Amino acid sequence: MTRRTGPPTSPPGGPLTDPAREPSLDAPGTVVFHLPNDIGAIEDAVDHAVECCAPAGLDRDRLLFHFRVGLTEAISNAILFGNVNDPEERVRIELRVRPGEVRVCVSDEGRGFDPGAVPDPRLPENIGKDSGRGIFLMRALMDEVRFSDAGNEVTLVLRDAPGTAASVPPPFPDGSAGETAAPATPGAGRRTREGRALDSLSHEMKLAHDLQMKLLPPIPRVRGVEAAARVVPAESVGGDFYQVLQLSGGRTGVMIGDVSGHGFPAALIMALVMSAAAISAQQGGAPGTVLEHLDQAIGDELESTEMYLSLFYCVLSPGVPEVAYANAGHPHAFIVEPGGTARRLLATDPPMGIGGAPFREARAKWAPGEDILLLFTDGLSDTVARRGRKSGEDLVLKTVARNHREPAVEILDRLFEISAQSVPLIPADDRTAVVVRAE
Amino acid sequence: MSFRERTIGRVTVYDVDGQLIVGNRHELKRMVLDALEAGGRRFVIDFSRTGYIDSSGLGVLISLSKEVRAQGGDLRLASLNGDLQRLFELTRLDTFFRICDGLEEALKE
Repeated sequence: MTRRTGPPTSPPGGPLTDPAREPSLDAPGTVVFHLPNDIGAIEDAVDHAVECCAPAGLDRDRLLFHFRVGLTEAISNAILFGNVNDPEERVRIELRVRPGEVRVCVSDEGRGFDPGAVPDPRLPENIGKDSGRGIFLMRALMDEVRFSDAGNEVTLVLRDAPGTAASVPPPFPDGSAGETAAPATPGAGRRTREGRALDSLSHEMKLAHDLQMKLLPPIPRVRGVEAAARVVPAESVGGDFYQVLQLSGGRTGVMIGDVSGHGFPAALIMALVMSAAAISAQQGGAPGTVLEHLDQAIGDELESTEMYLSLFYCVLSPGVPEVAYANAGHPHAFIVEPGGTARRLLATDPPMGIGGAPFREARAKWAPGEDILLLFTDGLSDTVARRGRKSGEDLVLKTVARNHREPAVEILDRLFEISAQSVPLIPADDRTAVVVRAE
Repeated sequence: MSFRERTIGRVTVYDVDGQLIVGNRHELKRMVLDALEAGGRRFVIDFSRTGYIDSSGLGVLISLSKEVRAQGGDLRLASLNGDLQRLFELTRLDTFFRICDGLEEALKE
């Protein structure tokens, strides 16, 4: 894997436009637009791009199939792998259309990756896997596919010359059907229209909710550490969780996780992940090692259920002016200084279930007894999102800055207050926040 | 809603209207798993009204197929147009799925 460091550069086509699609003509036949980092935005973006391609006069089938599939793959790679699902980041799409050819360049703001390291999805050992075909499809359907050296930009070219389609790797001689799967988690809640059954279901959901809340660990009382945390699920049960752990040597481990989706499927995985996470973390290892153990324990379950998980874990040591952390695609982890400055603890790897070992570790400056560690999930910032803002993250950070001197539990209350006052623009997801101050 | 569910005899048929891609695949998965849990064992996914499928869409079909097989059931794909057929051939997934020309063939025992 190659890794790009430093801040995202401004695209040559001009400053980044605000979320949605704001086409701007930079040069004749060139259209640039930006997408929010949201898989739900892909379909419209691809349709929009197809419309822009009309002047090329390409064969309609090639445009509607080869181009749409190729571009969908490129954008979903950028969102899920490049920007590691960070809602703050965006995907830039540049289309160059001329007679007989369309050229589309998709770039993200994240780390690059090594396209050569992707295994052949047609091999018998890979045929039954439910992922790993995106790059293969781009190469198979487009006439030209080129990744930038940094790996965070891909250029796809489609020409109006059927028959010149990119060389499809030769078929694999043996086409056996691959492994059979272990039965995965039974699906979501039962569907029934009978009132009695519904009553019993809602009763069960209430029990499930209570049970899940009990699974969330109590905050340990550690001298010199002040921590508060809360989960409010969107449905009666959800996929968010936290852990605050007392480790040897007076150290404290702090974790937040967000399983994709919500409701029962996410809750089942959450319960599994949370117990595995506690076991991994209690061994007292470094954050990267803890994530690796966890990934070994639950990677198969995530794959078979097609779920993924953003997870942040850090260790605070008494008197040490540094936080060691590992962050698998969790977008909202901050150190908030007493003056109100918030420093983001960036993802060190993609979410679990998408990326894999090894998990990197990073360190950040930390003023013991002064700085606040603030972790939260999308649900909290999305709930306070206001028109014209990309997310409510600013408001969450400002609220912590304004109340910086208050006890952790008070700060937590303020956060859930603003979230309750706001009219949600985005359907509510589970909401979770963790606030920690440590000497 | 991109997916329509209907029952023909003992077979549950899903029509995919538009595309099956990363943004909507979970919807289909949820529908089929619900039907599987409710006791359904025979499933057909009909693609006669489908524009395109991406790698995530293929992924969800694989995962559903494995799940249905594990419960002793059968999931078939029907009515793939030329492009979609090629997609399955390119990825060798034509060897993994039972692919039928049309719905009629897919409904046979």
